Amino acid sequence: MADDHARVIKEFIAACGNTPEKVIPIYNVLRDARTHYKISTKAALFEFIANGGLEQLSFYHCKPWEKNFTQQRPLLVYSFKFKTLHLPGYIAIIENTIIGNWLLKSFHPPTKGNNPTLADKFPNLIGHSEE
Amino acid sequence: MSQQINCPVCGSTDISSSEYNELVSESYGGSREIGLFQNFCNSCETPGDFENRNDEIIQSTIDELKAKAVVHILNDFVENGFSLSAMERALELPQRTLAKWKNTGKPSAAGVSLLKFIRCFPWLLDVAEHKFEFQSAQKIFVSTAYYFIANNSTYIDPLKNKTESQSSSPSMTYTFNNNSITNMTINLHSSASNILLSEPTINRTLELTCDR
Repeated sequence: MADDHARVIKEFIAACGNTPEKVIPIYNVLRDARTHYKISTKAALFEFIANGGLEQLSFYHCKPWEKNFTQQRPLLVYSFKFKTLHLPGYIAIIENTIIGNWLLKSFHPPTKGNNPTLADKFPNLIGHSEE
Repeated sequence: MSQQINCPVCGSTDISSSEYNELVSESYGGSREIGLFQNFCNSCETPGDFENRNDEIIQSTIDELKAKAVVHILNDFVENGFSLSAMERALELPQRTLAKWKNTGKPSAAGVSLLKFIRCFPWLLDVAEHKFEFQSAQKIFVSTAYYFIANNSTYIDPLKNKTESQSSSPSMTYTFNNNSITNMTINLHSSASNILLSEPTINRTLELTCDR
């Protein structure tokens, strides 16, 4: 389902605008948004995403969530890189098909930076950490 | 009786809550430590603000600090002899706009941004005085940079503390080495906006003293 990323991000952005109550930031998403992007509240974050705030959006990877709580219908993490003005960013989302909502798992600057390193080029050799 | 919370990730009701402190800061408005809430699902081990309790706390704190920033910024200008009327004129704002902001502490978000810009770069008032004309703006910018370098790269805050400044005319002075203009002082505190001087008047090195 890795090629499903275009539908996923499109529906996620639409959900941020139309049904924000069905988008749930988890982990440190809101704190990261405050710290790195001066987006103070959940409502402000959703408005930012819904209004085209994620520029130059590009698919990064898709893989099963490491914290999957059920093996019957494992949830997938879709991650994307983006820019906002001059700041690079990384966003990871999960389509929660069990509850029927969206989980916003990560929203922070990319930890790997913009310049690919050997570790980025050969992730299979060292294993890919989940951002 | 507290409302039962469901984990938005797995649906479990085994949710625990905890509190933590976070420092919220606002430029020129100071900072404040606030207590925030965090839920934790003991089933799927996912943390988050499932009860949506934090947004209101954060927003009200930010609003309060922004109001403080507005008052601090305008006080800085007033205490250094800047006339709010003159600033309103230069910025083409309706008269009494800044005074209202100062009294209520609640301008629009765009107003707060404008105030922060002119506090951070007071020479933008000169740029506004010159109708944002590009060449003048460049001259003002370069002149400011020139004084920065000429003063051993020590930042000169045109908003000098009143106690430090004994000058009766706290003008912003710029030297334009271009064709006819050699030295120029722009005084926002009087009706005469341009006064030609033979010597640059900013010759003191002052540290930026904004610690708010």
